Amino acid sequence: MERARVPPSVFAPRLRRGLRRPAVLAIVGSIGLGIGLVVLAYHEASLGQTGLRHYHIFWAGMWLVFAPLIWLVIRTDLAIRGRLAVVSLLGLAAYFPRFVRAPSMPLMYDELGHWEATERLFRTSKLFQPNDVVKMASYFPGLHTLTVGLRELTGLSTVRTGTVLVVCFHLLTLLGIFQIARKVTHDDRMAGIAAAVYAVSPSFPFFDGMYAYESFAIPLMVWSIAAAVSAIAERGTTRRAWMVISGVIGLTCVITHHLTSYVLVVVLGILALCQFFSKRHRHVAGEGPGDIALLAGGLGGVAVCWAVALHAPVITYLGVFPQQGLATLRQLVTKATGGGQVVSGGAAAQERTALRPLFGGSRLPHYERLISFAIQPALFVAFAIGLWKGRKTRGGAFWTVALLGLAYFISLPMVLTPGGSPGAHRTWTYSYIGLAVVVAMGIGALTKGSGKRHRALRWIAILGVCSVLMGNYASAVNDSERFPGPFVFGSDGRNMPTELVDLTKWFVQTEGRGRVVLSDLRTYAAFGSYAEAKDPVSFPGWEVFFPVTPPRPQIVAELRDAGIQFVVVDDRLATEPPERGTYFSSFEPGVEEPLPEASVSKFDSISWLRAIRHTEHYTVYQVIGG
Amino acid sequence: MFSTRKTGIGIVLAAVIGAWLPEPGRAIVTIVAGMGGPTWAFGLLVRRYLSMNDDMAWAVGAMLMLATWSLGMLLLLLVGIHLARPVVVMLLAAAVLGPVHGATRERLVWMRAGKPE
Repeated sequence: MERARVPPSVFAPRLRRGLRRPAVLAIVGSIGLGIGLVVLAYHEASLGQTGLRHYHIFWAGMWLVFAPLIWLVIRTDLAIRGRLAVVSLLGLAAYFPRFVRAPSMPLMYDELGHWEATERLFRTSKLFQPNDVVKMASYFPGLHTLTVGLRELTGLSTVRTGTVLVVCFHLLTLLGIFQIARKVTHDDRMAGIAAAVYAVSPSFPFFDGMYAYESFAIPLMVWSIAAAVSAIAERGTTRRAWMVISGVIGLTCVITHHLTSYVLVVVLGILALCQFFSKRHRHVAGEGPGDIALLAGGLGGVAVCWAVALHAPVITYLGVFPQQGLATLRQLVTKATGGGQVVSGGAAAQERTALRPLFGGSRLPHYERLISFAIQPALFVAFAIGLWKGRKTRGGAFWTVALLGLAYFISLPMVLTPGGSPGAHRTWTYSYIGLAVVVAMGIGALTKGSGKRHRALRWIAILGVCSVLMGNYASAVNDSERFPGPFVFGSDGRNMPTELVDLTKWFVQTEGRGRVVLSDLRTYAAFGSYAEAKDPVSFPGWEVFFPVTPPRPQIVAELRDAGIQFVVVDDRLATEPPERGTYFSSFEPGVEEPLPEASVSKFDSISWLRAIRHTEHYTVYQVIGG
Repeated sequence: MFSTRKTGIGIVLAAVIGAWLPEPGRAIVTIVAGMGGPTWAFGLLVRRYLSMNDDMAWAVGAMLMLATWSLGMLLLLLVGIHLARPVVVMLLAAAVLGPVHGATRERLVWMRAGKPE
């Protein structure tokens, strides 16, 4: 007897009728309540609470916002329009805490530098002006030109225009991930899951929510890759049109951010190679990957020409990361093989490559830290399943995202060292693009059916993705960055009190812009941005600040040669250690933290300094004859 | 209903008028026209040339809008043009009317059938 062919189960057919009214009400209510709780958490934190209550409220709110949205992308058989709307809401949800953190002023160090660059470009219409806060920003003005154009048209302030733009960047990044995943998997559901996984990545909510060149470069990179991946399946005019779009967007990326444009060139190169081997291996008809290779080469050439023509010190700037990474790798290998001493450049380098305890001195709640460890094996399992499912049927684009995702797991051991950690964190923005797509394939495959087991797996996946959000917050956003609260010396996020901002405004009124100011790194950021003060780069500031006695005559001569006109001292140098570990730069010598009281009080007895302004914590000294 | 070309001209006119309105009218009108206009125009172009019939076309349009503002302003500033409202309105007009023209022009018959003698 011939067996009747059972048609494949159609996933949850009743959902095709759309969501029922109670479900819609529950989702809207949950998101509304979640938003309210997140706002409440920020309010609690701003009151200077020392406990962890605001963390609990924050996470209750975040789960109430994210869980229904992830439920929608995982479970429902939404039409493409609904799915894109959910992905856009995920982008907004991811940006929301960063917006509430500082809705009306630049806050983080990088943000201050880019805000200043845009303000200056708006005022002068002159490109490539030196920027002493974020030195590379002057060579990559893509974000600043975009902002000043819209600012001139709309009359909005730089901060308001920047906020509108960062919202757009967030939405478009996730839609770009959706497009890449859709072309790789040919499945809108998996594409939605990939966007959701990227929305909970470490850098996306906070670091890429800053008004900074990287925040614009990420959607440009994602869409340049998405256009190239879309071109693969096309022929003739459509393929050429996609390649043109990839090129134009890639070109904008080149003038916007150094590292992202180089990563883009490498990814496009890998895409061309993977497509070449995949086509040869699978004997697939269609156009070759030559145009993608040409695009990668062209963008690479333009990126090099741009850096050379502007004399941008890209190699010096970016070279630090591979150097520290290699030193770290040597350290890890030596430790693993039971070897002896690590051979490094100097004492400071050795210190930076020494293994460090994760979350050392962290104020984050225990459950966040715990989850940040637990999510790594879970991500690896989902990644492995996705890889296994796609190994035979997928082409060059799949292997490209798989390699990109693999880079995430390779970078994980680097986090164990202070030297390798910043570099590893930076790569996650890029590697998560691949990780999100492959993990989404794993989650999509596990949760596709309509049986009891699959329903349970769906709930596990929702919990899993929300946990990834929590774990990634723990690994990428520290307490000072995330919440407002009392001043924390040497931090990024809690070092910009009204007292300092008012002082810089007074400074502009009385002394003018563009003066040379010597101060610790974080205080300088305020003067560099609000007063456009110049940074005496070559002068080792610690030679003046660290000793308990007045500086030697040789140092005074160097100080005058550097053209330093003002010295600004924060008296908390003697009461609080810098949260980020450095007072001036990573080149400074190791020192007792906080500095001795005499290191700060000595400035009043130095004959060539005259105090011109005292506030509660800051003193501005003018260099006599400076 | 308005034709696509008339809508494009309408967006540019709204931006021209809006740019000289008092706040907050200026901000509201110009942000919608300045970002929405080019997004819509490039989206139309994408729908026509990439046969992209779903809403992702607007996302591609939005990316091209951002790229046009960024690259366009860079070029204008590089050639020494000072920032001014008429300058950015001109750039906006080009970013809307250019793609609208590309999206609505008739394909010439001889391009497919061969140029007539």
